[in-house]
Amino acid sequence: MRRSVAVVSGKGGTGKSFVTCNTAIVLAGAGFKTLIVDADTTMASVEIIYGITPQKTLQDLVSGEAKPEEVLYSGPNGVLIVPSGARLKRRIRPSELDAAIASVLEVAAPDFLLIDAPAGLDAEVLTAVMMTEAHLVVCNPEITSLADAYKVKSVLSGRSRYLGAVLNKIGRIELSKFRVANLIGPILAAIPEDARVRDSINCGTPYVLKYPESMVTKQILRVAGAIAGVDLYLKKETRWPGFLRRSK
Amino acid sequence: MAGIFEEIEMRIPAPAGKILGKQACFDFGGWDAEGIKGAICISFGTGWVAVERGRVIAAFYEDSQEQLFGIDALSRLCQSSISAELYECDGRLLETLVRIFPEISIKRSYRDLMLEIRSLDLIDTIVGPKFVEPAASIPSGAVSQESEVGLVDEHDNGRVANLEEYLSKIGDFTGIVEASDGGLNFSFWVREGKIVAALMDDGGIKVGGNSVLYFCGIPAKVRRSPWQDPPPEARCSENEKEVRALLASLETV
Repeated sequence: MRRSVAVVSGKGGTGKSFVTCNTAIVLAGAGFKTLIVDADTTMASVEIIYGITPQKTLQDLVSGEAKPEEVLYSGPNGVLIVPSGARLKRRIRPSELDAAIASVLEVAAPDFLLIDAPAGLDAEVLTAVMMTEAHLVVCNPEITSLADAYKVKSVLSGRSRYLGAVLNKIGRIELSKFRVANLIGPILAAIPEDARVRDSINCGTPYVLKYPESMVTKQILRVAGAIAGVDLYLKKETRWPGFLRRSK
Repeated sequence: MAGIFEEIEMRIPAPAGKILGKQACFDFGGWDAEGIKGAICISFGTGWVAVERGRVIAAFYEDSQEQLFGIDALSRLCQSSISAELYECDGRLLETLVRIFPEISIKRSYRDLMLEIRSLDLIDTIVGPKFVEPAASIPSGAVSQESEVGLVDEHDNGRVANLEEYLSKIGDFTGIVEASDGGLNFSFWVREGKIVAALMDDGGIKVGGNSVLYFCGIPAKVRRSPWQDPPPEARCSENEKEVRALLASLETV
């Protein structure tokens, strides 16, 4: 595996799952075998964003009611998905999460693993971060969210490498980039507020596939590029799937 | 802070803890910073300096005309003999302040700084204002701008690898920089090298003001044009209240 990354946030609603899901599609579209694990068992949303209806989920794997290959689903661009299950059966213990992800990794053998961690700083988040070699924080440009992001960054430092922050839903921000970057930086991407994000979630078509030329997609490319360690860009001559390629 | 300056609220507050004493005419040159144990904050009506074991950690200066940070602030405070209050330094607050306002940071030896500041004073005394070239004879931004207005920028047929970096090194240009990467269109109103307003449009969303500066780290084709007043929604300014709120929220972290 090239790299494993946990995507975390201070509070819910920052757009963490949106960023994770769309980043995974970009990586998969660039030819990397990408696995996304929805570890947010209380607020699962990966399956909603991808528009899939899974029969077996991470919760079934943990409870021994499914094998690893039964909880792996193929999404857009061939991204591999382990959904959490939108209906909570029971809270998953950190050790169970650890074992479940390890068993899926053996079967899937991905180039990149992205874990969509729950919001906050619970044990599941720490487990997700400690299982991965790096983590990134998704936050919004409001004061409270920035302070949360700073807190998360501080608490998780030393547990895995901090890749940086993704500032999401930027409308009118009145703090300078220099000041924000100094607090939670490096800023991997700055994603503007865009009503089309909600539309894409509502219709179950991932945003980067629906609006490949938009500012939001360009920023998602930056996140994926930071994870992959290469520049990624839009391949204009072909359409979905596989509309992205690696730079030389 | 309970002291003679408490009625003045500075933009960046002094990291002052327990008061240690007052001095009617503080003399930077004659002050023995090396002899100080721990960290102290020297607070003046127009600014403050934080010193720890012979090292100046940070400084800030503010009057009705301007705000100065770091060494510039220290130099200004050194120029006048002013009454001062000495406080124990609130290390946690200082750390937070440096994090939010990194421009106040100095982190250099007090002795070296005093030597440097005195040398600058000396040069100023020797050279004097009569040797300074009058501003009118120096080619201004407006003159250099004239030759570039309406032309594609000189960088590789107008293409720049990073728009943000290009804007940060634009010199004393005054005018409008228009940029596009094919899908995104930007306009920056630049006055003497400083971005005062900005707009971005990707065909679906339009963003104006400070926010645009978060999005411009991309390759683009740029073009300069003469100055025109920007629309109100494009104006870039940092909200003082938000900075203060951020500062307050971090103190609880």
